[in-house]
Amino acid sequence: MSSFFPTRGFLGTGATFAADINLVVQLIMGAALITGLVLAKQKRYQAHGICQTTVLLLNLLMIGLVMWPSFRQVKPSFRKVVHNWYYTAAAGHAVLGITAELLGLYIVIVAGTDILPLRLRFKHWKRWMQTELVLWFIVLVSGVGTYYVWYMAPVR
Amino acid sequence: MTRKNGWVAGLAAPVMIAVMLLSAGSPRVAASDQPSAANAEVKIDNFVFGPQTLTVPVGATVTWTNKDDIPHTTVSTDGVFKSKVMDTDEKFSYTFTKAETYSYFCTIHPKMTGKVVVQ
Repeated sequence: MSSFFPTRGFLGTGATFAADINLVVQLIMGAALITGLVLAKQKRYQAHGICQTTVLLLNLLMIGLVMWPSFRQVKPSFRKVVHNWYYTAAAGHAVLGITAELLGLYIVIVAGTDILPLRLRFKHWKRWMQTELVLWFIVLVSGVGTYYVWYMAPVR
Repeated sequence: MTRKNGWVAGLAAPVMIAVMLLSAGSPRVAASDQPSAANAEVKIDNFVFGPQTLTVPVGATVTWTNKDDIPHTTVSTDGVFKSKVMDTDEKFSYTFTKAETYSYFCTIHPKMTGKVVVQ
């Protein structure tokens, strides 16, 4: 686990400080994405873009500082992932999370830059962004599930 | 029974009863509270270090074994010792050379705590 943080968490669940911070940040980011959706509905597209991009980049930071070091620390083998919920939850969340993050980065690159050639750019903005939002919330739920399996279920 | 044997038995009986009562009345001390042999073991089972408090003499080597099917670590709060992540049945040993009380915990599950008292 990252040494940037103290060890014990502050939510009283038995989790580490980093995991607690991550959970709180993820829930705030979920709320921010909903806010971003509302901004898009109001046709405030610049504010929408800033909001969603900030969430995406902040999540990248949380992956680098908290989630990836946690996952790498336990080194789950394929056998463990298949047979043990402790690893299944984390691995499932990791796969979904990486997919959501990459898809988000792709959308931000297409929407906010001209880097990609025309053949690699999408046209149906709404469909792509709605898919990303739904995927993001699935990842959020799987993240809360992973937090429960890792930290709350064992100390009950 | 002869008169002599009866007399010996009569004397021995209260002595035996006294010994039994004394041993029953003496305070029972948990094994973990006594300085044990030079090598001691702590089992990590169901998210608990057992025994939670272990008393050992100076020079003792303590071995932690992870009996859970998920990973744990053993790290002292003051940084004296630190295990790698232990998988199921993996072990970590540390030899205590200084009389002190060492508190430790699992960095993955910080609610798991234990203590080694070195005397």
